[in-house]
Amino acid sequence: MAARGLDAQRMGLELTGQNISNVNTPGYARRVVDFASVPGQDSRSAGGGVTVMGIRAIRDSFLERRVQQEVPTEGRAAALAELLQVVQTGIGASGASLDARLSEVFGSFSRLADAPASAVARADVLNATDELAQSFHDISSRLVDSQRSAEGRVRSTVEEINALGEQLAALNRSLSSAGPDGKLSVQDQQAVIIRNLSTLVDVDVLTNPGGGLDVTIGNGRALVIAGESYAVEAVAGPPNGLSAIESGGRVITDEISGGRLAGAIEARDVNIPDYMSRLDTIAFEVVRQVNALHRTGFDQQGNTNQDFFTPLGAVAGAARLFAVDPGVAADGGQIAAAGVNAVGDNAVAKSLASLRDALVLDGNSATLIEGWSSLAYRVGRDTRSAVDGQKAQADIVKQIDALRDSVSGVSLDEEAVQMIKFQRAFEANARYFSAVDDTLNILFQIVGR
Amino acid sequence: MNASRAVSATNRLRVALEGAADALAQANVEGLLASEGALEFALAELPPLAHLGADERAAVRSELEAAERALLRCRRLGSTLSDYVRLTLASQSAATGSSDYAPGARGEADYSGRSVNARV
Repeated sequence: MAARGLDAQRMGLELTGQNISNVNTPGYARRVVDFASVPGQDSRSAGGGVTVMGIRAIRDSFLERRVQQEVPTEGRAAALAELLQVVQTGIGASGASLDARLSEVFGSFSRLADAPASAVARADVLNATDELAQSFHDISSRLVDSQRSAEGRVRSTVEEINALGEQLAALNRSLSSAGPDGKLSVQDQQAVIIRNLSTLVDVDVLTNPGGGLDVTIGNGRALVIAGESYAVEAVAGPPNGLSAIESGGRVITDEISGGRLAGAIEARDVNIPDYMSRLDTIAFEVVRQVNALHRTGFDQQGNTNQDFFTPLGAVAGAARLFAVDPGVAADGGQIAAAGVNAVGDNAVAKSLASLRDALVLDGNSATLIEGWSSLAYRVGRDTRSAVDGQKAQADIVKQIDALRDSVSGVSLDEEAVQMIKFQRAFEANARYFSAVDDTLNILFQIVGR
Repeated sequence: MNASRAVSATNRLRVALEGAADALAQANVEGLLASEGALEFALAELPPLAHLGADERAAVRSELEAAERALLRCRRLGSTLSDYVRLTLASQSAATGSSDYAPGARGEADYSGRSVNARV
């Protein structure tokens, strides 16, 4: 009885120690010992002591599942917020970015209208349009960089997903040879991996009877089944070399709706291309509108029907290709400021200056500068939305984690208080043990052994 | 001398010790605290055991032997408990008996490489 009781007590205390040691271990579920009393052998016996029926890990499958559901949403918002914040920085502050360059160009046309024969005014126009071109190139380049950064995130996230899938498959294989305590440890590790996987991509998890986890992503695409993992791949393809996500040879990019992978894909395929398209539209309209007016004018040599900017064949890529016509750039005299072939006429220069207020974008409802403001606002709105979404979702995940920890986690205070209570209670008893020992020795001397 | 009183008194002592041992074994704090009073009462109520008859003497001896085994069990369980609590709390920098609370000062020398003596 003593040996059994001691073993039981030792196990209980060791579990308390293990719980304390793992208070900061991610995924660790608090262990409890199930004790059972052993009946006495006769009526004079106080009982046969205590034995350990088993050790359990305290888990709440509902809360575990809620974590799996909420974490991908947070991961998606977090990845989106990180990438869009870079975009937001890249497009520059309102009033000091493309909008300022556009204002400067229209201002230079206005000054040219005031002095159409002035070489300084013509140089001023060339300088302003050159800066505008540079600004288009820079912002376009930053958007491309951001898209490549998102692509890099997609690829690295896929690698992480596959690594975690392999770890989970290895854990599933190890279950067959694990003892009872080993299985609890495996469950802890499974919880950590599923949590990490959920951050990367939305997963569906099924627990099979042996304790192994089967994991699918997208519309039921296998990632881990029993002891086997099935890698997803990031396969680069035309026209821009961006990767499609494939599982078993099928493209499942559109099926990814949660986790950091979804956030990176959304930024790469939706947000950034939208910003690129809007920037290209502004660049294309600037070229189209300016060239249309410029071709009607006459330069200082009497030439007409000439483009100011290099003509663009399509909206796509307009910001990257935006450039002043090489002939005009080399000779300010080729700027067609006059509406008629007469020295001092400024009709076209005035028309070019009035483009500042022309409604040429968004179905003739917005000016070029408003178009840029709309783009900057859209980037800011998307970024703010992603950041706010991530914060809100983080709060939800934090709350569920707290709930889960209240069930599965270890309260260090609770465990320490429990141990100190044991120690104090034993000390109270121990004061009598010496007296009992002395008394027993005396009594044995009286009654004999 | 009332012989039945001697037997019942030693029986009380045995039961009190077994209660303390069981409380230690089952990690039952309330039981452990309750057994303190039972032990105190059992010791205080022990009568003189002179002039016992043979039957009473045998019965008292049986109770005393059982009480001795229970006491040994209490000491071993208690020793394990104290050792384990001390080492575990020391590893958490929360050892009792010291008023110095120093979370950063982990007394590794106290517990590093130590194990609990849990042999019976």
